[in-house]
Amino acid sequence: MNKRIAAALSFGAIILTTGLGLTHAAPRATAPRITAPRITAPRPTQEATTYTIDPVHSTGIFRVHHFGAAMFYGRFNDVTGTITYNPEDPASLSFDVVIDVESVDTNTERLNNHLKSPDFFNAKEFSEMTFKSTAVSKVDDDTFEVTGNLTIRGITKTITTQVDLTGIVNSRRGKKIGFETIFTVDRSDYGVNYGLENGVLGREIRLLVSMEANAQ
Amino acid sequence: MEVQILIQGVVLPAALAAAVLLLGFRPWQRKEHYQGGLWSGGIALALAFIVSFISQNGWESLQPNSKRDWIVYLALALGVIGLPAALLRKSTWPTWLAGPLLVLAITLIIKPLDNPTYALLGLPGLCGVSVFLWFLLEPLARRRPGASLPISFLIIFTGIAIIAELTGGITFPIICGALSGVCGAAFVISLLNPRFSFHAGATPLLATMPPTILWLQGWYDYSGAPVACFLLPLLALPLLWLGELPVITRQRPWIGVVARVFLVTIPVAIAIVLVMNTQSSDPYSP
Repeated sequence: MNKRIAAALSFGAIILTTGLGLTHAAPRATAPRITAPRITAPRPTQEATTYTIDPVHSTGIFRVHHFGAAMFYGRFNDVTGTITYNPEDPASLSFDVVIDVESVDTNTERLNNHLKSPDFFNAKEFSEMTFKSTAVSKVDDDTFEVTGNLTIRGITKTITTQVDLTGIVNSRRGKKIGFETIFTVDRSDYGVNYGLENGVLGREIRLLVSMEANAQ
Repeated sequence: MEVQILIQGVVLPAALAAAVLLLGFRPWQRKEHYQGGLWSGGIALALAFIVSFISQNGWESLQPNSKRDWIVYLALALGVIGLPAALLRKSTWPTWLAGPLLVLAITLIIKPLDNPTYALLGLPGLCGVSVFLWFLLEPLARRRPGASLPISFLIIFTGIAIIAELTGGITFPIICGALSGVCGAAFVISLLNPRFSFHAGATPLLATMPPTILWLQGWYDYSGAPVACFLLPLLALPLLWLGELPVITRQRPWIGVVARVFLVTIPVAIAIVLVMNTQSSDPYSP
């Protein structure tokens, strides 16, 4: 009985080997290696897109308490830089934003000149305000927590702010993306000290930056 | 401009400085007309400058973040640099010692200039003008004690304050207002003590601050004001020497003072008119 079974198995093995030989043009020299399947994060199917910030449709707005009375608002008209983002890979989000200090606009020329003076932003010596992100984490589908280096008057401090993705579209004019963030800084951290001692202006400046950017 | 800013930035510093001048020249010792207070002029002016600067920009600004912020240290240096001359009553060697220190201090202010033309022409120009004005002012102050110089500098610093206010910024106008206040106090003291003088102690700061403030104000200017309005007030000091012409010195003392005031006012007034002509009609007041 055992001999019959052994003969049947041998015959089967011969048939199987012959069959494999028919299906493969060249028999493998070595036995196939069996490896465990790799467990990896799903790869994004597309590369991160770099967007160029459109200064026409981007704005920086600041707010400061004036004499303890009203909240005074002004804006920076010239916001430029780049944004990198892949919707499938939130960690790819990065910001490199530049605000031209000389574009400060309060609708009053003499106040603009005062804000450009060394009392405030000192545009002659520090013409740009910059933000470069260093880390990003996703809060929800449209919200990110972004950490980065904010430089004002040549002084760099690390800040963390919540950034909202306000939209991403494929229009006739190409791919566009929009982000917005609001954060508060202590201006004395950046050497903007005028009016602190006498209480003319508040210590905190709230900044709202809204950016629209076009895919490169 | 708000009253609070004026009190903290002008009135308080000027009052402190006036107290120093009073201690220096002691107008209550009328018989001998005390002249031992030459040390107090520089100290009073520097004190007013520093207190006014800090009242506007806070203690944090003592850690300089811009060229302008160095000026507070320049004021301190210029306030004490004349002390040896004032205390020893010999002005030659401290003056020559102070010259290079002055140039060094101004270099510190202007060091990070990004405009080569401005740096190459402006720096030696500023140093040269400062030293030139100093050497004009010191013998004049020695020769002409009394009310002439305090009231002349009151006009000069008031003029610079107006020019600086119109061309942007508030720190320099307020500081110049404080310095005007010190000169006003000095004028009153000089009426009580005719031997009051700015020579030795105060001349380094009085000769150097007007060109330095105007230089920086001109560099930071966004108003489009003509360069002449930053130069004209400096003509006031050389013009003061015209007050030493015999036609004026032969007159009564008060007529001489009026004549010198008139001479100083001309370039300052022209500069102010020039600035006003370039200004917009914005309602903004710092």
